[in-house]
Amino acid sequence: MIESLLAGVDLALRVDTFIWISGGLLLGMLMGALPGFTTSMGMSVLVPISFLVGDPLIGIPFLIGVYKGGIYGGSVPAILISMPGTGASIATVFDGHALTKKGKSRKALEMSLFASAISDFLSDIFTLVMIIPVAAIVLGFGPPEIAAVMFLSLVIIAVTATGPVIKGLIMLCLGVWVGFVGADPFSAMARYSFGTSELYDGFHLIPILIGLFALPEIFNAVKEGDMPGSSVASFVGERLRLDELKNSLRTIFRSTLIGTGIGVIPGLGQPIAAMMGYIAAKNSSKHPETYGKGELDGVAGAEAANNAVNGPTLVPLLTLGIPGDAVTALLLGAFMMQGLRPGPTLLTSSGDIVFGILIAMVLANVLFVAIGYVTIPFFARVVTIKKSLLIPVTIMLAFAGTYLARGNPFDIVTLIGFGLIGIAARQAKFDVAPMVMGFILGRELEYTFGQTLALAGDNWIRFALTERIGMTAVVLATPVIGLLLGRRMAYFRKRALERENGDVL
Amino acid sequence: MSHLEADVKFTAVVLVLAVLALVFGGWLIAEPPIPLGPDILAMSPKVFPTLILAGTALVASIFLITKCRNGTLFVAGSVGEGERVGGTMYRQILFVFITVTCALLLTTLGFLTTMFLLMASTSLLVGNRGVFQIIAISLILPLSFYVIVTHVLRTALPEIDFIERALVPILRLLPSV
Repeated sequence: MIESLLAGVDLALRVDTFIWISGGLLLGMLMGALPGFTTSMGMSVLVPISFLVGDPLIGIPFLIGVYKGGIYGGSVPAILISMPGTGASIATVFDGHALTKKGKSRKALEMSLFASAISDFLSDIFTLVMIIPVAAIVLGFGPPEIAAVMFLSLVIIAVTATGPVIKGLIMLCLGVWVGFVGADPFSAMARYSFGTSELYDGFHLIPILIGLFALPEIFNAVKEGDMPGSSVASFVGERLRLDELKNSLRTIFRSTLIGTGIGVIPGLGQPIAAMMGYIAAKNSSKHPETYGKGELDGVAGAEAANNAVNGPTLVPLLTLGIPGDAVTALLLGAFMMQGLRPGPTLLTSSGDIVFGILIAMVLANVLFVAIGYVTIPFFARVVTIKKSLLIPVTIMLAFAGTYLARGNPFDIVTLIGFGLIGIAARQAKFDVAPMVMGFILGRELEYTFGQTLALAGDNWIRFALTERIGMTAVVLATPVIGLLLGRRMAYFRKRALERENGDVL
Repeated sequence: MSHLEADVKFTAVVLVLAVLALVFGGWLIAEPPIPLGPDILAMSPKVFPTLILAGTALVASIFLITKCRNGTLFVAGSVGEGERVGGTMYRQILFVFITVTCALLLTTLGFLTTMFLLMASTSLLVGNRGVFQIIAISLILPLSFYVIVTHVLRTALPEIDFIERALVPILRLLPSV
């Protein structure tokens, strides 16, 4: 694996990789800075573009650039117009917008940039260091262990989805069911294909992702109509001083630790990390009363925590093939389109490429600071762009991207079908992320479970109790863990909401 | 005037589909031929779908029963809601109709014509009233995208012969990549 790491260094240091990462960062910042444009929507329409460039060392880093840029970009409207560009920037609003009201928006935006870049860099290093031992452990996993881990992940994803746990479970089951359409992995017999060859091949991931994430956003924009661009966005005040950044370093490091820990666990994601980072910064402050009234540390705490999630989400994705959230599900789709199958054997089969991508991701943070610093004034103006100019472009990219992924007209029908499901789910306040996870992991779970049964032979009860007792323990513990986690999350969300409404954090 | 909550309608549809799929599982899932019987296959193709569908039906039923017990199956409509909803509902239905139509016509009308129709109508529905702006966006962007994809990335997008032939002289003027 060390040889792969060294080979990855060679592969990562390419000019074209850095050009595409820069493009990804710019596009991500643009998407994040536009209120109403989510990172997952932007990435979903850009996944097929990453495939068209043909080289995983260009396409995947490009998408990682979009991811990083998007999470940071969300802080721009949060600070300037009190409207988080992405869910990850909810906590940035509290102090970021207060700073804008005081005429210090430039300081807030620069603090957001530096906190994001520092935490992103540190958490990427953690990812690079952690992935080797985790991959070594996972390499020893057989079908029973993988099936158990997948089951555990599915339950965690369902209970940590937005909204009540039961809604997450319904969407998860729906996703797993959709994954069964097509040939059975063992006998190749048709399931739910109605005699058509298109359905026999099963649904392709890309139209599902674009349909579930992009079309409901466009539909929502149509529903709301065009809102006049904000005229209050302003980029004013003094620059951030070095001593101010130094004073916030402790907060940035603390939030980096929080974000990194959350990133490794599938299903939690940036909004929770940002909220926890912000609360931790406030609780450990000597002057907590200044929080919510324009405290630079508040911006640093929230932004460092949400960006620190980005890298570590790749640990379960690359080693186990488990996407932690919607964005990593899109990255999984991008990996699969490039012929790379995330899972226990990825690092042994394509280690050099994976390490190349990870090293490019670490180095991208330098570009992140440079591009972010130069373009802050531009993105401060972006928040004023009307939706009516951007929504048509998004719908064109959604259609074209879906078609270009495989050149199959049936994918366009799939796009519309899942778009309608996404729209209905959004109207009914169901989170679509568990459905995507269910679709991706359900078939894998079935396959590994079938392999486990085959290994067990006739005497599978004895097999489970004696040889795979660890797996049985995990499987039995999962519902309990899931329920506890669900209650905990509900409590946390309720508390966060109460605090937000009461303006007392 | 009260009506069913959106999440109740969504869950009810999921429940009905799950029950139908369970009932008609025998028709919807092909049986493996006899040589691939239980002695060879570790698991029948029906096992996992049946488990998941039963789980779906159970969870959806629990959700609906809970809503029913809490008395939150219905939501009360407010005075004047009809007029407010009417405008947005009209735009939403039109958007769905246009999107579905364009999806079905993509291969027949070609990428550029379909995208012009889709982008122009979406612009109008989102609220853009600048005719020149709409035409410019709906013409120039798909054309630029088409040129990049076909000329630079060497990938095909569906297009009718007439337009493809018309674009050849323009593409020839571009430097080869």
